[in-house]
Amino acid sequence: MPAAIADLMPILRQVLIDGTPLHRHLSLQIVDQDGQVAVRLPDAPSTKNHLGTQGAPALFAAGDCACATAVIAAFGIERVRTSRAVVGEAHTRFRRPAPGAVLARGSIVNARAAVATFDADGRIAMDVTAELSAEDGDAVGDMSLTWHLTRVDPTDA
Amino acid sequence: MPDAAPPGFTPSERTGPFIDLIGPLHALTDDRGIVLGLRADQRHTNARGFVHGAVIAALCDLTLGRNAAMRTDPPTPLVTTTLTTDFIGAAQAGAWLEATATVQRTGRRLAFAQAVITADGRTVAQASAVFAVTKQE
Repeated sequence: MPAAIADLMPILRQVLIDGTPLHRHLSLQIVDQDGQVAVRLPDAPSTKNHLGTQGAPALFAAGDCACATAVIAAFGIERVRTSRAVVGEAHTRFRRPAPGAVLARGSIVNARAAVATFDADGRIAMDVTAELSAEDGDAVGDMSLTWHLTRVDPTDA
Repeated sequence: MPDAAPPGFTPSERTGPFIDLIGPLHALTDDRGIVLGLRADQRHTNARGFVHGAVIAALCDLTLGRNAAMRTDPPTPLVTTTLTTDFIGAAQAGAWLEATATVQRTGRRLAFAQAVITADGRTVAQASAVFAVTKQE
């Protein structure tokens, strides 16, 4: 595991699993997948739909969590903790049924530029995406979220 | 803790593993179609203590799917292919979440519908979805 990811994993788990009741309730996991951070939606009956495949809401939660890992990885936990984060829009495509566990990987297009804009302006609206795949690598869906991150003035009550 | 559901709502007869996980889900059928509701609680929250977007999206998906499926007799079996959700406001644990849907079309291959979600009467999200018709059982 690369050192950067090894350092990041405990923070991601603390914020996005231990600190997020819904993610715990859905038994989401944050894992190192080939040196990349991924969110794992386990193969459990409780998240399945009437067809016996992973339901849209559970896939949404996994993708949303993966997007959050990408934001924390790019911006660092201190920027995120001192900001107001709001998701304005979410677009999810479900391409094929996922009968088993699913991995979601988040990313930000040109993350370095996004961080520079945030540091300069104190706010940014950016697209954060997640790819959803079965554990064998087959794509099962993708999602795009519009994140609005605004630095909070610590003197504001 | 407020009552589980407002008057007129009854526990949803249609259930499933995921609904059991996040529910209980309540339903009401009136001139708006099938209205689904959920009393948000601590299980449904995000790291900031607000209702998680995935719970809002789940309620959207369930309401959209049920209304689109019940547009035909017998009901059309559907599976979600796209879901677009606009988050307009935040909701907190304890809020009554309620979803209504408008179905544009349920055809032989696809169905289209839109939904509005309120929290204690205040709009917090709107959504649209496309569903694929699955093989008749």
